Amino acid sequence: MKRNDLAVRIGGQAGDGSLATGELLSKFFRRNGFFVATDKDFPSRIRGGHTSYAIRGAQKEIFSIGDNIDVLLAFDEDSISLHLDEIESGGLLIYDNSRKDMDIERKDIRMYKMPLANIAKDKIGLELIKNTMALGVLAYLFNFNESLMRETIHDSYKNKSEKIIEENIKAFEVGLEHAKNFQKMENYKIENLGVREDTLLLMGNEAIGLGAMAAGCKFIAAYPITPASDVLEFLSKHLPERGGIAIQAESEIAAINMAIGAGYAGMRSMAVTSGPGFDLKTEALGLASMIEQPVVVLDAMRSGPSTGMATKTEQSDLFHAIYGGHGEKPRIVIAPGNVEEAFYFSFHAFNLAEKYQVPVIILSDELISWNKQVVKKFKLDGLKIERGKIMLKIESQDREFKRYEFTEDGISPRPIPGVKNGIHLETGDEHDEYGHITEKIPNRNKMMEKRMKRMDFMKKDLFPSIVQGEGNIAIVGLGSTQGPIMEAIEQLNERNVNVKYIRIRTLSPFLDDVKDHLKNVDLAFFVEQNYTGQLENLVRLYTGFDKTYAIRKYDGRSFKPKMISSKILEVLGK
Amino acid sequence: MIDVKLYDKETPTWCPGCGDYGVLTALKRAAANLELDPSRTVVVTGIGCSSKINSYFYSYGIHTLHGRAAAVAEGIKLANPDLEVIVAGGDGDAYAIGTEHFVHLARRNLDIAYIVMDNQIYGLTKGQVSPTSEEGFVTITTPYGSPEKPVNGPLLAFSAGATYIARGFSGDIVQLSKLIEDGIRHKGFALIDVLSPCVTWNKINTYDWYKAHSYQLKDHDPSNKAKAFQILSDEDHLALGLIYKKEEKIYEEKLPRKFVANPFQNIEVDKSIENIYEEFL
Repeated sequence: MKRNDLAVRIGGQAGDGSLATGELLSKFFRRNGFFVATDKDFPSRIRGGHTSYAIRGAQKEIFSIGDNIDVLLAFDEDSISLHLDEIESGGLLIYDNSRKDMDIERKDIRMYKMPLANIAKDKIGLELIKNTMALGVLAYLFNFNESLMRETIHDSYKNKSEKIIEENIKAFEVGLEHAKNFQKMENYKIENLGVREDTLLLMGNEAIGLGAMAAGCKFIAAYPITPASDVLEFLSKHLPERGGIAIQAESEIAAINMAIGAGYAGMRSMAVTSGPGFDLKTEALGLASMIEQPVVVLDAMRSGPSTGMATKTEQSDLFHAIYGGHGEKPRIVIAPGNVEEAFYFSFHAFNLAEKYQVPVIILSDELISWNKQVVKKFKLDGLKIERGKIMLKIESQDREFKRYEFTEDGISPRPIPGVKNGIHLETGDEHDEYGHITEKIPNRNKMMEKRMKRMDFMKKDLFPSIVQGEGNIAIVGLGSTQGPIMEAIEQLNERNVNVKYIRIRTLSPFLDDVKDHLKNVDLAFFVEQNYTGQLENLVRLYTGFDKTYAIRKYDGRSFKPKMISSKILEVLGK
Repeated sequence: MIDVKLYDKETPTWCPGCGDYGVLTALKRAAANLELDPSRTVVVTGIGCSSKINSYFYSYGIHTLHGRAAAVAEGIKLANPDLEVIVAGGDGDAYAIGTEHFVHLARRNLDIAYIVMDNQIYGLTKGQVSPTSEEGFVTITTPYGSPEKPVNGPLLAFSAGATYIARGFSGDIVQLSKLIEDGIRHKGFALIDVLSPCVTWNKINTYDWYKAHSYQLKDHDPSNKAKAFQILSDEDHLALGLIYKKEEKIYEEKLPRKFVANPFQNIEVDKSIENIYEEFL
């Protein structure tokens, strides 16, 4: 008997409506009192090509869809050839055989064939509504709370016409009715735990947008790019009512330069992008570092290089985010591991950017940006705005202001244009304390040191690694691998293998705590989604630690917990 | 009127005789006539000899990247529309590496004046061909003559929807300062394209050459769009004066924002995001 944990994969051709159905199901899970994790897998085009959306709801806190799925809802044959093996023994395949009917080889699962599209066309006159019908089928077979499901469907379409709501409710009822021809899945128990009112269901990109707004960000400039566009779309809707602006720039380069301009004028600003766009932004990031202006940039990492696989995840921009661009420059790079953290990191990014007058890069990956998770409503009371040495008024009456004054911590007072007595020039050329262009030797050295020493002073404000468990075997990772790693650790614990999990959250500047955490470790498994082991190399570089074993993946799909746990067991000889 | 000396800053390092001296003088005069408050004015520049102009003009200034001045300026203007934002730079900045921003700034019609100092050569990098160099022009990177047609910057701005297009000559500071002054005063995007000779690297397009190839517009109605197009299209005879002007809504007025967040106001944690939570239930 499997209780209160159900993973469903909905597969079909792009345009079949798998994503919308998945959204509905994830909403239902939240309202049912479950935690949620999702994983989208679709091609970079509008129609055609196989798309699938996995949604898992569970009573326990989860961050990944896990190893296997319990239900495969297949609207096309690709779903079966690609995902049949993923179905847990004792699980279920629902196959819409309206278009074709293929033979399927698996004795250990239940297989229900039903011509959902045809029934939808017959009974409702709309083929596409087969999706909502399928939810009716699931609801019957797994004893979902039916009225909660109806309510969820109703709310999901509440901005549409009455007719659309009615049709969907009807489709749900048709599904329920049709499912009665099949045996219920009595080996599963899905209880209604009651909605937890203090939770939200949202994806990383939305959390980043909310975090930015909470921090008083009033300016976003971006060029549409997968998987970062959601943040621009979200803020385009919500910034105007807050006196702010969202602008779809003519290019990635325009976007970052606009954001720098807005930041210079005193408005908290951000630019959001992914790898290819981040490439284009590196020159401007150098400018921000040189003129010591705050700007927040999201790089939602996707599979590269070049266009790569635009809709697939990867963790391959680490070095690029930390060092990308010519010259040496101060820069903060932080990597959230889940949706909740994405909100708080986004909020703090704006404080860090102003306090240290540097660009802050939020390094997410596609899985965090798109993964929908149930999170606790954000605690706004504990948050504080910190603007560092911004000057909105200046008493002294010098004709020119020492914008780049040498100070103990390397941070200089920052008047914004419009401030009387704050007049100065900012320039990407090497400059003196007033911003006058100069290439003189003592000044160059002092300015380099001034800019770079902030990287030490800021360490106290950055996010240390999160360490769970203990022992001399470690797993090290960052970002979205948190989900599969946490479940891999459960699997290892079941085999009496204890590990210490070190999740690194700040990449630049590299924090000293990582070395301490690795002190008594005999072997560290570096789990990362790239080919060259960027995190492993970074840790080696900064800590000298070299007792490593690489578990890497670069096929664009997220890790499964078993890929991690079985490799570790194999290496340890257990 | 304010004394033009208010706007003096560092002594320029331009070559003696450089056309950009005339532009700097004209800009200072325009600023004085407009009584621009240096603490509420931002001169945004890119890279090149002419982009050094904000080292020599007393106001807030930001010297950015090659080609990106227009984009930075847009961010500044949108963040604080009360500021007077002036972009200045060369033909490389506006008509080559930064063409995208130039075109899109013009089409957005933000209230920004852009002074382009066109010398038809790359000066700071020592004499390479420029986007406005004549076809056949011989430089160190086009030793056999440039095979490319020059970019007609003002016509480009016209087609992008610019609402103020003027051409001046750095040899005529009186007219130029008036064109700059009116361009800054103009509500919307204003292009002031300036024939500004490079005396060191361009021995063809000299002061005398520009005098011979330009003419003063007389009895021209700048609101006549068809006529403006005709004038701008004539690349053999360069018209001096205000070529085109149109009153149109500016970008800032078309934004959906309910109010303009004031960068001088204290920022507090925006708890109103809780009103958005209903999207996530």
